[in-house]
This record gives sequence, structure tokens and C-alpha cells, in this order.
Amino acid sequence: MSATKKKIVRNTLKNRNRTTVVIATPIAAKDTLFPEKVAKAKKMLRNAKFLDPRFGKVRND
Amino acid sequence: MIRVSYPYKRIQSRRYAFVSDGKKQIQKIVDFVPIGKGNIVNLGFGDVLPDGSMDDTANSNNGNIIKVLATVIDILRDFTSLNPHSEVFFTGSTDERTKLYNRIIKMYYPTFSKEFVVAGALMIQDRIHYSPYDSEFDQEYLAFLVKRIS
Repeated sequence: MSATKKKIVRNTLKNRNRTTVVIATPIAAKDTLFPEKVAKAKKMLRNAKFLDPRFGKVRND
Repeated sequence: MIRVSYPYKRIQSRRYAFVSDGKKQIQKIVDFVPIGKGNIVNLGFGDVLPDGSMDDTANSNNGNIIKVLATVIDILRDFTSLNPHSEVFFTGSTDERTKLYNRIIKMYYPTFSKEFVVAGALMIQDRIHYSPYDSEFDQEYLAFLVKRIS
């Protein structure tokens, strides 16, 4: 196996275990018609505790 | 479930419009906005004012609140069928409006729960908790999260 091929295989194996986290782009106030409602929602979800396991696979800010 | 509703139009991928045709004609907008936490989107809903601005606190007294809310539920159904992993957050813009949403969900929960799972927000020791919705619970929920049953 050539050195280049070995390098490709090594990088592929290395990347296989890498987790890509996609962070949703925050919505700018101008992009929503109801910025106050969005702000209220964010406030009510910040540090909230989810007792219902069907919801809230949520990252904290 | 409430049967009678207004026709609506999806004007953008996350935005819908319809006309509330009661005592007067009022243009309504329903807007779903990701809030940057998991799959949660906020449901915003309000009137388009003559100057083009939005008002989500207006009490338009157009004599058709049930039909308007039925339309919002139809829109919620459409949005969640297109975005089945979305968790839709909503609360009232006023305490009265939140109480109204509590009454509507309680009334239609037996049917609503066939299509959606619902969690309600409660304040417990200064912290908001989202717990599975209980229609027998005698306290008002502060907000709701709904998700389509997959």
C-alpha cells in the first residue's frame, strides 16, 4: 500500500469516531415576526428541567 | 377535534397566513422559529396590522376564536408533518391567552393526544419543569411543548 493510501486510510479511521456537532444558528430578531415571543420562549426553556423524556434533548446555552 | 377552520397558505417554509373572516377580515400570521435549543421551535401567532407590523397581544373580538384556533391547529398539524422531529413551544402573550390555551388543550386533549404528545410547563421551586401533560391536573400550565407522534 502506498504512503498516500495509508494516510487516507489512517485519516478515514480517525474521522470515523469523530462526532460532528451542528449548532443551530441563532435566529436574529429581524428574522422573526414575534421577537418578544421568541425571547420569552428562550427564557422559559433556559435551565428548565424536563421530566417528560419525550422532550428536551436540549443543549444549555 | 375542532372541525371548522379557515383555509391557510404556507408563505415561507416556517410561516403561514390566513384570514380570520368574522365581524371584520383580519390577516393572521403563524410563524415557527427555531430557538437554538435542540429541535424546539417557537410558535408565534398574531395579527397583521394595517401598517404591516405584527401584534400578538391584540384581542380582536372578531367573534370566531374557536375557528381561528382550529386553523392554528391545522397549521400545527401541517408544520409537524413536514418537520416531524420538531418540538413546538407555545405560550400565551398574556395570562388570559395562556388560560385560554389551557382550556382548549384540556377540552380537545382526548383527540389531540392521538396525534401529538404534550408536555406542560410548571414552576416548581423557582425553576420551570416540563412534565407530561395531565388533563386532570387542576393547575394552569405556563406553556406547552407539543410533538407529533411518529
